[in-house]
Amino acid sequence: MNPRADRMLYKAEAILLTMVVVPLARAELVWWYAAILGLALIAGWFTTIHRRRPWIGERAGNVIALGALALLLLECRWLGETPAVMGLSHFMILVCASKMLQRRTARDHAQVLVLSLLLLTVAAIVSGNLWFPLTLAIYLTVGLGALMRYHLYLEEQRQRRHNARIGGDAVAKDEQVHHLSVTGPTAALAGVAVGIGVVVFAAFPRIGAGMFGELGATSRSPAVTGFAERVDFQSVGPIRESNRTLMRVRLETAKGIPYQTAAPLYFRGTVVDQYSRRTRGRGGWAWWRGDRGDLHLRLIRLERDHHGERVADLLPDDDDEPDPDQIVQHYYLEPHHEGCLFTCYPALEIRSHDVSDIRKCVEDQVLVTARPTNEAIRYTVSSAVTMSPSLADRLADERGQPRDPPVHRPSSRLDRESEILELTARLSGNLGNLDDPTERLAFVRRLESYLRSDEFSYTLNPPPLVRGREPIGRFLFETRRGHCEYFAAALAIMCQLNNIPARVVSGYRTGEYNPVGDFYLVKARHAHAWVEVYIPGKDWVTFDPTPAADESDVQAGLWLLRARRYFDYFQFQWANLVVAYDADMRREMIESFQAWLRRPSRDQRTGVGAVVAFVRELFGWRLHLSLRERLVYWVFSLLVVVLAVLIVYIFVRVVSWSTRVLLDLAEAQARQSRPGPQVDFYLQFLRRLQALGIRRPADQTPAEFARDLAARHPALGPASEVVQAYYEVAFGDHALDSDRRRRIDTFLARLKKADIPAQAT
Amino acid sequence: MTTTAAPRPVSLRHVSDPPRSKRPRAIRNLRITFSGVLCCIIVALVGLAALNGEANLLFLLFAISMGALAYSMLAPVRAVRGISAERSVPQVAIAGRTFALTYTVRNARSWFSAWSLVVTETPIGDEGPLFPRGFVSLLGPGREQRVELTGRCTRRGLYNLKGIRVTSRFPFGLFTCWVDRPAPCELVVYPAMGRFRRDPWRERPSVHTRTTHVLRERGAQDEFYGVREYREGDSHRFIHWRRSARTGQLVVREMMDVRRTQLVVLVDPWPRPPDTPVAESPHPSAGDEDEAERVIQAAATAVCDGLERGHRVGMICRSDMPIVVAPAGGRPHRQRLLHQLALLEPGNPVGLDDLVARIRWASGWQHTRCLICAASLDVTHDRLVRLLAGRTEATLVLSPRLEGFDALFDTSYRPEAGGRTR
Repeated sequence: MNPRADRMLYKAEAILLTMVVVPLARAELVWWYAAILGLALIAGWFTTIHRRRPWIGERAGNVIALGALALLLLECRWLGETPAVMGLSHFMILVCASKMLQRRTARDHAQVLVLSLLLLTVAAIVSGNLWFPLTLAIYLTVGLGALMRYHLYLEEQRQRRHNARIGGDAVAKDEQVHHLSVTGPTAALAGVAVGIGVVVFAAFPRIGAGMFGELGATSRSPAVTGFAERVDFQSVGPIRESNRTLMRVRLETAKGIPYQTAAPLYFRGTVVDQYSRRTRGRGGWAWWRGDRGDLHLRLIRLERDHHGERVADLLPDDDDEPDPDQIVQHYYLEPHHEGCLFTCYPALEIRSHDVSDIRKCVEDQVLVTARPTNEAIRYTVSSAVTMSPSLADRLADERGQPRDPPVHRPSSRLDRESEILELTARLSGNLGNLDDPTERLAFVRRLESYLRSDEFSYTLNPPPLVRGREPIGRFLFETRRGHCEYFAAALAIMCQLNNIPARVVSGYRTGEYNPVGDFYLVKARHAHAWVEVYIPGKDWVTFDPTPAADESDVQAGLWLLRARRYFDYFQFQWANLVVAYDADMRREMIESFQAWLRRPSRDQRTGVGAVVAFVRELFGWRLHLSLRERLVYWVFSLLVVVLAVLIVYIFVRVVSWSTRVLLDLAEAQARQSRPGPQVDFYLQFLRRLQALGIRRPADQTPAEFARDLAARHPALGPASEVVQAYYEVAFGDHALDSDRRRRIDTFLARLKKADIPAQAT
Repeated sequence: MTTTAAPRPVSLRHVSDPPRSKRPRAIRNLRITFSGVLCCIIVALVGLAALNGEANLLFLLFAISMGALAYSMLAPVRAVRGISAERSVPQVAIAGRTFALTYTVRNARSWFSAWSLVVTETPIGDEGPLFPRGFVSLLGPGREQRVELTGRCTRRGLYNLKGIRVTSRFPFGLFTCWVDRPAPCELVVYPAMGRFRRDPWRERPSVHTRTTHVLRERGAQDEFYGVREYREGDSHRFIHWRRSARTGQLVVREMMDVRRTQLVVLVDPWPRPPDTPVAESPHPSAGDEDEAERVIQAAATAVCDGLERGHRVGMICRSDMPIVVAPAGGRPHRQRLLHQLALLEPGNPVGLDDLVARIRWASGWQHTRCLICAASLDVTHDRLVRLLAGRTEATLVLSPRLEGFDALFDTSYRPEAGGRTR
């Protein structure tokens, strides 16, 4: 293959593969394959392209392809952990990497381009973030441009092969198609493709509201997540912060005004309240959901309201006026394969296009979908900001009797239970009756303050656990360093040991507020655990004993922060408008478009409205008009239509004609301004010969004519020089020197004076 | 000799009538290519996956692919619209040799460029010859471009060129659109030229033996004609030793008869089974066609060779219409003879001996050499040789079925390749 074309295609393929492998790696959180491909691209550039010495041969490439196939089978058939589509993408990435290290023919380039397109399809399946449209944009520019050049190159080679096969060959120079700029057709193609694509995408009928979202949320991230059904201290080691986005939440008041609060928001996920040893007392300590058999799970089906939205009340209806302190939370939740829906406490109502029924644990007030959410979902939850007494009563009514929930003390005696009790007694001070709501609230506040004091510090790398020793006691009295689960567990145990109902809640805390799009961005590193304590009359009250950690965003540069916010905003819009596009959105969009179309026709002051009104009048809205009047209407309208068509036709013709005339004028001017060959001496020569009665026969070339002239009329010998000069000037782009010009002028002057011997004429 | 699967010449009967419509219009065609079918299948699969999974990004990819497909279908149509082409082709060509073919492609549109244009001849039937294709990668609005190609027709005959086909598969080769611009033209392809490895008239074997050459010569009034390189079989008497010593290779003198001898080439290209009556001649088979082409090639070479040596050359052919051309000289006569050889068609109403018996040249048969080029020899050729033996100066029979044909005649000679043989 032509080295220049090869280099051009290599660059394009490298860009495409780099762009497409990143969303795949981001989705899977496995960067090995991206690294392999990156190394292959760099090595291929320096060996195959730069030095023209490929690293591996065709046979080695085949072996690699077979190995990749074996890996695909291994991943999909036997390991079973990798989704088939990701296994397929691994196979394609490895094949592309091996192709990059080989000397490639046109067929190999085609294979790489096709594989990159298939990888793009895989990325469409597994990647729901903003990287995909970026990749798509690169494909629509770099990719299509490369494909066009590739086609031009192939087409030229095809014709050359054909010509060589039939025995002829092109005389013309090599077309050098890789130097051609294909910006225009690429832009046209991208524009048409995007235009048609947007229309088809928006208008394509949809049945449901399926979406995939990001695949990567399924991978086992070492970061803290809020979805564990229990808090297992034995299995929790050092925790790494992850910046993976888990959900985006937009908060609004009941009137639709964006809501932002300085107080932390707690998005509740799961609740655990029983602290005990695992596996019959020999394992580590963990938090469980106690009394599982007595849990009251309520099935809630979302019914369509008169707007077509699926709605369900999470609390029994109240005849009173709705709570004015309600906030509406719009969640866009990435797939997390756990099935719980995050809400602020207490949730009153839920709306969703993507969920048809949910389960609600009445005791814990947590929501779970019927099946794990393998794809992104959207839902809207209304919650009360403050817990009013009536709301607490409603929550208590939903739980049923007894009103006070049971206290789940640890199933076995803790190693340092007495020390904990001494500590709590010391902290309680003068507080006597903990059954009193005020006293209990003050007591828990003191415990919370104690844990948030300087005696304790927050870390994601707590000291390692000692096998066989209870971790919370050790945390309270020895290490005093840990993450949120230690603090929450300590507070909950201290409450439970004092016969106060308390539970540990896992979920997310607040997230980053994005003022550009007025939404909260909740990432994996915002996962948190806190405590809810039952206060009579106030239901479960949230306490957060974890000291505040450093916020990295504050340290980030302002412009970087702003850029990131804009990126998050576009990501949010992309997720809402494209990834989450569904049948309801399509219906709403069509309805709004219809309304927009009808808008001008309703107003007769506008031109469109007047025409529409006239047409309405014409086609029978005014049935009381007589037949004659209608006939006049029809004739008049027919004339108007004919006139309009005529005007449009004349306008088009005039524009076309004037364009052509202008172009011709411009061409003529350009031709005149262009310096043409100065062959006036030759024309003068012909004219003067014509005056002498000598004409050049039509079947003779100027050179033949000159030779013939010199043979027949020796006195006209200089005619050969004139013709020679004419050839050089007209076709050789030469200029006459002064001597030659003078000789020709002399000869022409003799011709003019007929100063030629008689035998010449 | 090698036989190549070359396209068959266009029969004279297929020379098309003038177009019925007074104003021929360009015909535009749009077809999907194999790559296009594959691409459509892939896009359909993506669409099905999108429907199955209800994944919006797949929907988006599917929709954009649909847009790209739609553009791929429209772009070649736009590319060939407003494109005119003119052709410049010689009236005659020689089979096996290249000829110049020039197309002038013009983009008459005011705004849009045309990409990836392929210019070639409109195909002549399924078995028509293959013409070279010119490629224009980009033609701006109002621009024109000359595409110079070299064509090569492997078989003699009359080619009725219908028009010029402008094709575009831009941008991805998924769809192809072509437009046929009517431009009727005729191209006569003369038979392929070989060469004689040695002078066929220098050997003097016995008169009536049916060998490769039968040569009878009266007198030898030769005159120096020129020198040429030594070939195997040349007499050592004619070696020009001084020139050979100077040039370093053997050079021989070439002599010519000072008298203006006549050469009559008798061509009987299509063989006939011996038991077939003269009036009945079956249609020649493919093998016979190849042999006939070699015979015609030898005859054409002999005609040109004779004219170059200064002979007056005549020709008698047994074909569907018997061809008799009286001996003459000059370039127009050469073209006339080659034209007749180019248009030879099988058919055998009259045997060659009967034909010769009825011919009375104005110049007579004296000082005439006869070269009989026949595919196979039968009784008619025996009669012919006997008939000519009494009249002519010398008679030579050349047939591919005789031994020594390849030793005398080189059919694969290519003057364009510096005289090398294939």
